[in-house]
Order: sequence, then structure tokens, then C-alpha cells
Amino acid sequence: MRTMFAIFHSTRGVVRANRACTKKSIPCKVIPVPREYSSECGMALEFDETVEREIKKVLEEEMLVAEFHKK
Amino acid sequence: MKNTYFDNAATSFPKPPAVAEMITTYLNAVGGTYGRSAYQRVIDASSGVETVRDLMAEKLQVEHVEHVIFSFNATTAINTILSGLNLNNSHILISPLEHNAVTRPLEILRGKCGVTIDIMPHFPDGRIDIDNVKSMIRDTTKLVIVNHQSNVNGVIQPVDKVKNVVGGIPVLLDLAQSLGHIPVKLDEWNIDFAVFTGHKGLLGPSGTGGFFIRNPDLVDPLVAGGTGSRSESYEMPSFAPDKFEAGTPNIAGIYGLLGALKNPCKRQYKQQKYIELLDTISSCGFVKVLRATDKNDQGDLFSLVHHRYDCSHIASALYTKYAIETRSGLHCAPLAHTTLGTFPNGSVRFSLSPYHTDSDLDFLCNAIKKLEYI
Repeated sequence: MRTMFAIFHSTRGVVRANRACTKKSIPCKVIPVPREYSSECGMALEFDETVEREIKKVLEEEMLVAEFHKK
Repeated sequence: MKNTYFDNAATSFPKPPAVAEMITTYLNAVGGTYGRSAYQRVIDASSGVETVRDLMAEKLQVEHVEHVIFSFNATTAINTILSGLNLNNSHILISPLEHNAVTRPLEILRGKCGVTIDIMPHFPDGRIDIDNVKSMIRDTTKLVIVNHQSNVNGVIQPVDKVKNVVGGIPVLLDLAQSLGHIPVKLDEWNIDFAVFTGHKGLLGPSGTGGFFIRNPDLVDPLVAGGTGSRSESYEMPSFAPDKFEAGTPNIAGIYGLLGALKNPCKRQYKQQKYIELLDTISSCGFVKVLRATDKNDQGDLFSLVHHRYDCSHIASALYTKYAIETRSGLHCAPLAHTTLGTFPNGSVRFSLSPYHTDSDLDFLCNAIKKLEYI
């Protein structure tokens, strides 16, 4: 199983995504933006690829745009 | 206990107890900055700030929450918009009751950028004469500025009608005195820019405020710096809210505002009682009351001018004899006082809080009635 990351362009995006996923009990974690994917110094969402579809659905419902990476 | 504080247009008092509690909670327990790094304190602090942004969008009645920007007060917000719009050699229409928060930045633009300014036609109480606004519009008119509720006589302007008349010309609405007192519907009114403060009608702490911007692309940021986003670039992010929020925000203050927004005080005094107060004082015979001609246009503040004594003398007598706290002078609004015929002497202003009761208004009324001879 691979780990995935969602990187948002603003703090508000991460906060909203985290709230929405928590509300739907989708496991995810807020982490510092991984250096290999971005030079931003803010927050990103980390989750298991098994919940990728659920996370993407939630983000779509919330009209949140994110950049996804797999490790 | 009597509430004799009638200077809520300067800053509100008292605040809901939750304001101090939330500030203390942030300072003593939450801690953490906004949007930089990702440990629990940062997540909690960032989430708190974003909750306030959600609540402010609700208060302003706007759909685009991310277009609600935090700044330290309404003045900084006005300066951001006026300096960030390209207004070179343009014509600007302003309402007749503007505050120096608008007229001073405009004066700078007049000197530096060749901006010309006209005051919209109006009635004696300063209410904009909608029917005659259209004739003031020029090809070069790029902005219309409206003070929603005067900080001198409390007149509420018909902003929706102004926007209808000026059409596509952007409108900047100053909500410093109105937000929290009267309903605001920025999307319905199609307002382009609106500035607000947290410490007046919203009953939050000073050092909080901000603005709504319908199209963030139209305005360059006033302050540049770190945002936690797009850190690889020397340029500011192009998207809101980050574009306008460089540097660490006033997180403690924003938490205080959260306490205020979640615990609003229902107005204790009756509108009828307020209008009776205005009518009684107006009929005293020894003062002129600065108020709206139509009671439906009256906000929660008014001023008076004594026929015999200057305004500072009246404010001092009210405080010494009755502990009534007011503000005398020009209220940083020389244009408004010029419009109302009270420049340069000014007036004594009384501004209400939702915490005032009918009995507080009776006390104020009786005190003013005794001021014929001091």
C-alpha cells in the first residue's frame, strides 16, 4: 500500500479538506508539505491510497483543488 | 446596573464574555501560528481562523468565503483597496458623510495620481439623492465609495439603489459603523468591495477587521511578505486570501472575534424607545439633533449641537454629572460635518450598544434634558 499526499494552494484549502474528511470519518493526517513535492512551508494532507477515491470525492464535493502525489 | 457608555461607535463596550475567554484560550492553550508547519497547535489555530472567515462570510452574506480577507482594521482595508486599484487619473464619486479613513487616502491619490473626486448629490441629512447620481458619472468614473452608516448622525445609505444606478462601476462600501447593527447583503446588492471592523458593531476586540473583494485580480496587495504558500516565489500568491494576508495575522484577536460572533447580544432596548429618545431630545429647544430625516434611515447613533455651549463642554458635563461617556468634536469626519453644517465646531455623539436597555435610554434622555444651563 502506498501513501498519498494532497497539496493545496492555501491554508484554507487544507483546513476545509481536513474538516470534511474528519466529518466523514475518512482517515487522513495533516502534515508539513513534503519537500520533494513542494517548497511551500504550510500543510498538506496525507492518506493511504485505499481511501484515494473517497478523498477525491470529498474534495470534489467541497470544490477544492489539490495536487496529488504517491510515494 | 446602569450602562452609561455611549461611545460604541469608537469601540464597543461591554463585549460578550466569550471574547476575553477565547483570547485567553488562544494565548494559554491553543497557541500556534496560522498556516505554517503542521503540528496540532497550527492545525487548531488555522482552523479557528478559518471558522471566523466562514462566520464573517455569513455575516456579510457572500458565497465566496476565500474572498473575505483579514486585516487589522477597516482603515487598513480601505487603504489596501484604494492603493491597490489602478486609479490613475480617474474620477471617484463619494458619499457626503465620509470618514477620514476614506478622504485621507483619497487626498494622497489626488496629489500623486491625478484622481478627481466629487461628492454625490444628497439631502440635508446627508442621505444620497439617488435620482441625481447618474448625472455625476463621467467616462472616467472608476469607483463609487459609500459610507453605509454615518458615524456622525447615523444615517443609513441606500447602497443597493446606489449600485443599481452606477451599474458596472465598482462600489466600495464602508461597513465600519453598520455591520452588526443592520443586515448586510453584499452578494444580493452586488457590492464589489466592502470593509469592516471587528471591534464596533460585531462586539469583538480591536485589531481585527478586513474586507470582502469580489474580484481579487483587480487589486494589488498593500503588504507583501510570507504567507506559508508559494514559498519558492519572490512574488505574492495571486489567489485570495493569501494575496492580501502577508505576515502572521492577529490570531488572538481573531479568536476574540470568534467569541463575539458565536455569542451575539440580542438588542435589549426597543427601537420605539430609541425613536422616542430622539424625538424628545429634538423637542428640547436648546439643542439641534443630527439624525436621519426619516426614522427608517436611522442607525444606532446620533449627535447633538447645543445652542449655547460647545460640544466639549457638553461631553464634559455629561461625564462629570452623570458618568455618561460620549465623543465630542469632529469624529474624524470633517466632510460629514461640513455636509451637516457643523464644521468646524463638531458635535457630541451618542452611540448605542445592544447591551443598552430602555432604562439606560431614559437615563440618557433625562440627563440631556437637564443641560439647558450648565
